[in-house]
Amino acid sequence: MTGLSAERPARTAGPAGGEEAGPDHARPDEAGPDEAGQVAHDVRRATLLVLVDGRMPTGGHAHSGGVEAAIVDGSLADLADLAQFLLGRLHTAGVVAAAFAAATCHALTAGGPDPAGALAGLDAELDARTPSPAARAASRAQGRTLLRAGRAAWPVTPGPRAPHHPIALGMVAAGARLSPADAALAAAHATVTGPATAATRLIGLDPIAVTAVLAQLAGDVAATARTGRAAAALPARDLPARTGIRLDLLAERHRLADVRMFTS
Amino acid sequence: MMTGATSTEPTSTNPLGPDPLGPDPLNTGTIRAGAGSPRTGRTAVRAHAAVRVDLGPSGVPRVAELRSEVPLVLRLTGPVDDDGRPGAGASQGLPAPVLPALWVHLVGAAAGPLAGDELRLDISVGTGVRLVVRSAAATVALPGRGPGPSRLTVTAVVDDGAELDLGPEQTVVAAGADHQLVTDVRLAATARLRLREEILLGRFGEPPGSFHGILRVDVAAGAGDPVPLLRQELLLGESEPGLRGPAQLGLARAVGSLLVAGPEWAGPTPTAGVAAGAGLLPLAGPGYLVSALADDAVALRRRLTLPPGDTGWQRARRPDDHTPVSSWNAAGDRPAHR
Repeated sequence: MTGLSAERPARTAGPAGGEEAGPDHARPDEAGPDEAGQVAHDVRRATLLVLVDGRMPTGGHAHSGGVEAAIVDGSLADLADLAQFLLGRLHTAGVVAAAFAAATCHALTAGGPDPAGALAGLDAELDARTPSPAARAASRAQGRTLLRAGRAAWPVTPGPRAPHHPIALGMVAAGARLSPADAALAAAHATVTGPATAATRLIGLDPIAVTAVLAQLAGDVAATARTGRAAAALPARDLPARTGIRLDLLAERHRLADVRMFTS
Repeated sequence: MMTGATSTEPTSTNPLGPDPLGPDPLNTGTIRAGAGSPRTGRTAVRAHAAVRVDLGPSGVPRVAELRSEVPLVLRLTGPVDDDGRPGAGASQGLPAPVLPALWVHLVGAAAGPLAGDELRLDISVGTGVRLVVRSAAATVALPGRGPGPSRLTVTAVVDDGAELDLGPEQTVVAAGADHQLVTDVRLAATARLRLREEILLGRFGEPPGSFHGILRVDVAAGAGDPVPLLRQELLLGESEPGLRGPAQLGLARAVGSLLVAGPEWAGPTPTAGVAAGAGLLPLAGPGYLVSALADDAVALRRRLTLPPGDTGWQRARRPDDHTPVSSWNAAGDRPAHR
């Protein structure tokens, strides 16, 4: 494993993700040597790239995920601090986001009796995992803008106007015919890429060095996505609830700042 | 006793309420843990303690069940008025309660918990009663020979018009320890809760062991499923990725929270604020959380007990700057607040 943290067993129990049995995330009906399956798989990969492209106008560029406040309070001053920040964010907020994105996508694609009710339940569970009102507002703001862009691109199911960002991500992923594993990977990816870009812009870190940090995090991003995917079919109550305490405090401190470059 | 695989300590159940002259639970603990007996051969302890309070048939608060099992020993501690009946007392920073209160102290009757120990405390508070639960001393989670982590599971059920004030002393995660604390609270629609948790990472000058905390609080909402109010999971082991980075703990050695919850809690929900190392966080549901980090236990306690109306909290100049878009408010079948 090339990640910044050592491989360790996932602490969140859950059924093994059926869809990640193969490295290509192939669904049973798409697997096999036939060309149609390969084409469908390639289409999904291409779709996922569109969804996670930083140039997609999802509003993510306006949010630093706590980086700006951490820079202001002095706890994030250099590349090493950024790497630790991203690692900590990934293994707390990232795990939660990946699990809820996957669970949302699962609820919308698994053919359950009441997907709308499942979505409302997931949204309420995410509220309970987000004690900071500033963090809740930032999550819903990003969820709203992501849905707007996602609806223009894919047939996204009707739902709440401003759900939490991971819920919106799961909705858009389902509309784009992506899998819960894809949704989890997109969520984990977004957990670190947005803040990394914000740090580059705020303190002038070398963008090439920041990219190297993100590349080193790939193993952790993948592990986080796996944890999220494995939790997708659990009852909403039992989804991960990992807490980054300073993230909550930074979110609140940020909105008191006189000068802000980022919304959150 | 010392060689037993499982505690066979007799359960002391006291359905009759106060027993101020009963046997000193500390003595019970001394028998088990003292006398310099080596712990070799000791594996794991399982213990189940419970306290259930309600308004008795005559409308007077009573202890309907008080069950102790070493090392979890519960003592009814009052306060007791001239007639020998428990009286009331205000929790710090909260409005004076109007409910008659019963006080129970958790007395650690043995060292630990140690690895492999499985401890459980069940709390039930009936309508019209306020139960205050404290502990006599900090809990020090230690390493041990048992398989797996030590675990303390606390469940609490608080009925309509009842109040639980659960504020044990700190949990100290000693070097080499692997401790889990699971807290599961279910509030009725008009129940109230004050819940304080404080974790100290290591005793003085030592590196900490590993701590895994899960906190779940649900509030009943009519006939439907309970609504989640708070879910928190802390993985505090020095090997956790990014634990010492700016997103999680930084250099803090003390981590804590104070949850005040309940749709019927007297007074309005406070506006959000920050102070040094602490945040005052109004939840999406009925209640607020004070979340704090500190270098030591004293500073942590001070941060957690800063009253929500105190001028020490910095607030947004425009309170509606960040009006949260709450699904709780959006759904008509959920309790309204604010």
